[in-house]
Amino acid sequence: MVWSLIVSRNFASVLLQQDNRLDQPGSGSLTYLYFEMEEAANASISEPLDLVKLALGERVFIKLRGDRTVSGVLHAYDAHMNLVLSQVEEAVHIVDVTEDGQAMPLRVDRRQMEMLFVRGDGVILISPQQQ
Amino acid sequence: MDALIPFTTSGSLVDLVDKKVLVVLRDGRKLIGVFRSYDQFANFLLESTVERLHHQLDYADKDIGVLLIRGENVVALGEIDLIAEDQVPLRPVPSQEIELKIAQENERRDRDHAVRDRVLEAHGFVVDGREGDAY
Amino acid sequence: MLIFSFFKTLTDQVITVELKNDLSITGTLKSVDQFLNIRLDGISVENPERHPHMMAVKNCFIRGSVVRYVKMQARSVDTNLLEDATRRGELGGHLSPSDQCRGLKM
Repeated sequence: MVWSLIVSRNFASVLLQQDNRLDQPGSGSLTYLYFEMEEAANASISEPLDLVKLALGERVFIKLRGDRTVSGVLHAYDAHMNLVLSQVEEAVHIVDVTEDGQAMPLRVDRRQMEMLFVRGDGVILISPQQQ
Repeated sequence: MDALIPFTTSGSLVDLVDKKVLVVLRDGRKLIGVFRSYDQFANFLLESTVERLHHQLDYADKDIGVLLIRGENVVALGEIDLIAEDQVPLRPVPSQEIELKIAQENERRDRDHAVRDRVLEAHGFVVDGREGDAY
Repeated sequence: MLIFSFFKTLTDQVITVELKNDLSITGTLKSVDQFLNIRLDGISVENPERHPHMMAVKNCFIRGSVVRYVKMQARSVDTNLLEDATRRGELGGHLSPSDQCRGLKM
C-alpha cells in the first residue's frame, strides 16, 4: 500500500500496472515486491526509463525500426535502450512485390530466440505486455 | 593516455595491420585492400584498394589506390583468408557487364521499396529509406 | 558500462551478430570495446550465396553502431545477476564488487 502511494504520486500508469499484478494469484513473490517497495522508496520514479526498470523480469513488447516487433522477458537495459531479453519472439512484417510491381498482402515472419541483445538505436517503443 | 585507447580497446585491430582485408560500407560498397592504419573511431587507412562489385557469383574489381575511410561509414572489416580466397566459387567478369546487372537490380529494388513502403506505412511502420539509410 | 561488461562475460562463446543490413554472422566472440564494436573469429555467414563477398573472410571486426541483434545461448547468461545489476545501477550501471566476484568483471 505504501509502495502504491509512492508510485502513484509519480507515475499513475505504473500504479495501474502493478495493481493488476497484485490481484493475480501467484504473481510475484513477497520478497520481490518488498524489493520493489524499497527500490521505489529510495529512487524516486520520475523519468521515462523507470517504467522499464519496473518491467525487469517481466515480458515486454518492443517495436523496432525495420518493420519489426519483439516480445521477450527483459533482463537488462541501459540509458541507450540497449536491451537483453530472453524467450524472445520476433515478428518481421514483410510486403512482397510481384514482378509487375503489385504489392502482395502483408505477411509476418516469426522467429524464436532464447537470448537476445537488442541495440538501443533501433528501439521505437517499449511497453509492459498485458498477458 | 588517450593515444593508447585504440590499442587497449577497439577490439584491438592491431593484428590485422598489413593484412589483406575487406571493408563493407553502409551504402553496401565492398572495398578490398591492405590494412595500414586505424584509430579509435574505426577510421581506416587502406592501400592498393579496389572496389569489388558482386552480382551473384560474378565479381569485378575497380582500382582505387590509397583510401582513408571515415569510421561512421564502416559496417565491418574482415581479414581475407588467402587460402580460402583461392577456393571460393567466384568468377571474375568485365566490370561493364556487372555494372549493367547491378543497375537493373537497383532499379527493380527502388521500385519495390516504394510499393512496399506505402503498404507498411499504412500498417503503422516507420518507413526506412534504401540500403544505407536503415543504419 | 553494464552492457559492455555483459558482453565481456560472453568472450570466447559462440554468438550470432545480426546487422542492420540483414547480414547474420556467427562466430566466436574474441573481443568487445566500450562502443560495443565486436571481433569475431571463425565466422560463418547465413545465406553465403546472398553475401558472396564474405566467402573468403574467416575473422572480422564489426562496428557496434551497425548491429541490430546479438543472439546467444540462454545458458551463457545469468539473468538474475543482470536484473540486479540493472536495478541497482545508475542508468548505464556500474557493477558492485560482489558482481565482479560473480564474474561480471569491469
